[in-house]
Amino acid sequence: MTAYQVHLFDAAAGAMVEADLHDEIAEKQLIDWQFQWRPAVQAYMKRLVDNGIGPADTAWPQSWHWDWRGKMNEVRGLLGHTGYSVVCRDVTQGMMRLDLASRRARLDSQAGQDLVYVDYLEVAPWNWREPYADAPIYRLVGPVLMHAAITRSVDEGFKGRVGLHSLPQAIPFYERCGFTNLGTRPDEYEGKLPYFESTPGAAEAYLKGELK
Amino acid sequence: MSKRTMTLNLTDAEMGVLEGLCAKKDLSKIGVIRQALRLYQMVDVRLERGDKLFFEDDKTKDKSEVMML
Repeated sequence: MTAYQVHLFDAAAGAMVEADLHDEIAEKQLIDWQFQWRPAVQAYMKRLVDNGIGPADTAWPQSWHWDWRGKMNEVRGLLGHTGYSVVCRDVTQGMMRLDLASRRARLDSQAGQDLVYVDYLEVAPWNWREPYADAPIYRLVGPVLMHAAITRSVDEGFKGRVGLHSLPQAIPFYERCGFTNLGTRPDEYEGKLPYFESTPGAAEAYLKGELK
Repeated sequence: MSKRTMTLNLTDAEMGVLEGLCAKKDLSKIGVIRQALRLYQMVDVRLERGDKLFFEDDKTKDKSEVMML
């Protein structure tokens, strides 16, 4: 495992703080997910219910059912999959699973080329910016993970090409990342999740910090 | 991540295919070989689990099974 120093924004302190980007999702991350993320998600959903918000509402967290232990068990030992995690003050703040091998680019300008596909990306629930959530503790977790995905794509020789299907709640984030929205397909995720893809140009702009 | 070096001897035909894939995929030789290894392992693991490997015609939706015995 390799750890890289990154920076998050500590909202309470109003300052940047050091954090670690790990090129793996280890047991520590899964324990944090199980015993810290899950209870926080449950508490948030209880708050939603108390405010009359149910699963059919757009405010309902769309990743609430994600089982990170199961997701990592699915790909354990496979060279074509890898994970990244962000840790700050010894607590996991975000996780991402990547597929390095089995997806191909769809944009006309790069159709058929290899890319890094983001299987899943999630930040800890106390960092969510949602209408009924408390103010996020750390910001920039998602951008740090997206930076890692693009950097991995460059390192693999994929020129920064990254693809993913976005939950509806995350669409504005990927638009801010400069990804192209190719829309939904009826044969994928029940036609509910639009597909986004970055080009080498968009990736370069993201890595240079030209997009926020 | 530590890396190890090996020498790979290929026939002219194999090298031709490798170079063709490099050009088509805009990847280095090691990039193509790395992707091939990832996919080969993924297919092998899925087949060992009892899954089947199919190619599907995107237009006709006809499926043809790739028999790996």
